[in-house]
Amino acid sequence: MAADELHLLTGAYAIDALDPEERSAFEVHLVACDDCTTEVAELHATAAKLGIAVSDIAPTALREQVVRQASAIRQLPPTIALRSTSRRSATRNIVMLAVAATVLSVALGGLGSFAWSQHIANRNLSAEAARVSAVLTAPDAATANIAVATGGRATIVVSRQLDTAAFVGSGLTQTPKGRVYELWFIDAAGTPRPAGVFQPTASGSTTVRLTGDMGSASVIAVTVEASGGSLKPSTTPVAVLHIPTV
Amino acid sequence: MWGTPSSGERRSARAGGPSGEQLLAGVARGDHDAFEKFYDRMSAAVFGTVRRVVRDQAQSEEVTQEVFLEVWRTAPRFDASRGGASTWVMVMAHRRAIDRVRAAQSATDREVAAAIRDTDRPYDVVEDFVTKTLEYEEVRQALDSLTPLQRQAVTLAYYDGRSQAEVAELLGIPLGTVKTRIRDGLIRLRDAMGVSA
Repeated sequence: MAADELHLLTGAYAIDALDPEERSAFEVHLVACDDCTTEVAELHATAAKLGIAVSDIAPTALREQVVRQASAIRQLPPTIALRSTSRRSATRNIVMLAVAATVLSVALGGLGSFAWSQHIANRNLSAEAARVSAVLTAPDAATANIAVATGGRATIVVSRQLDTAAFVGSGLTQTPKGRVYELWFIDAAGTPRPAGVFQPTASGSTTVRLTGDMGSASVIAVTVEASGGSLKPSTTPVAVLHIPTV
Repeated sequence: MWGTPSSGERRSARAGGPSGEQLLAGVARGDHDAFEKFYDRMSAAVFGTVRRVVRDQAQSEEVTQEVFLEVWRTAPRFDASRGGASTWVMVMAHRRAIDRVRAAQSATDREVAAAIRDTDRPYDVVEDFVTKTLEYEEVRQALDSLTPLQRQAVTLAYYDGRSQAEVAELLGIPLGTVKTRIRDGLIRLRDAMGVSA
């Protein structure tokens, strides 16, 4: 999806009208877009008023239940705030990390449904998420996503400035024994270049940074190859994603 | 970043009671009393919103419970410098309610007849609710300032939990139009109610 189209999704995002794929794509976009981040915050506050307007007394029994159950639940520890002197940049950092965490959590099987929010902002990031976040936080980060022929969803996040791409898969089918998924950079002439192999988690997810620079690649493709990977695709790609031009 | 506190919170703050943010700070320290007060402050807003989206009474109670247990669990990570407590919990409530209905039934399961009826009476989303609070009046007047299409798109999405694709189908307009109507509608509501982030 083009960036100018993504700007229009602030409203639908703020009132949860996006489907899961759009939601992820927009969250990736939010990382790079201060205007949308501000607008979403305002529209979230607006939406909250729509909710408060339809207040309705909850059953009395519910209160006792909630209070009782809460006493048995361990609270999350406060985390080290990712602060800088500027509130704006601090917020931005946290949002960036939140998105990185979101993408990772999608990759890990949809943990954490409160995307783009402080609920996950301070979640610890794995090394892989940190690498992916370098791409996500690039000022020119752009995304594309597509259904994978063998099942699941493929999303790429690319930064021309960093010359780097990340791949996020969800709901992917497990590869047969002795097979892996392989990523490819393909240039305008159709020449493929291997960009790493991966196997999804048990829940069918993965988040990886593509090996090597993007260079003149115009397409990222995924094939199923023998373990260890191939030098050239030996099967029909299960996903072909055009690298968005910013 | 979460906008201004609700007028309920402002009133309370003027009256000298703790703000929602102060209560959450207490919850973050494991203060059960603060948690009960926060529940008393926000449970009607959460339950009302969830029930509007989920419709089913028992499921609405479950989701409301989930939301407050999540408040309890994650309050230590709430950062008041990034916005209001009420927005924080309301965003959580709406998201959870939406997740519940989308998990329960695919779009095709929905009754088209009921949906069409809904589009004919967009104000029912609010009229259904009994208590005519100040907040209700403020929102009703703000909704009046929208064009009919903006109003229908926003209310179908927020109160009925419809995705933008469903809204497009129900209103018989292109998806791109729905996107802009929802955004324009919310921006107009924001301005009408003087909401800032």
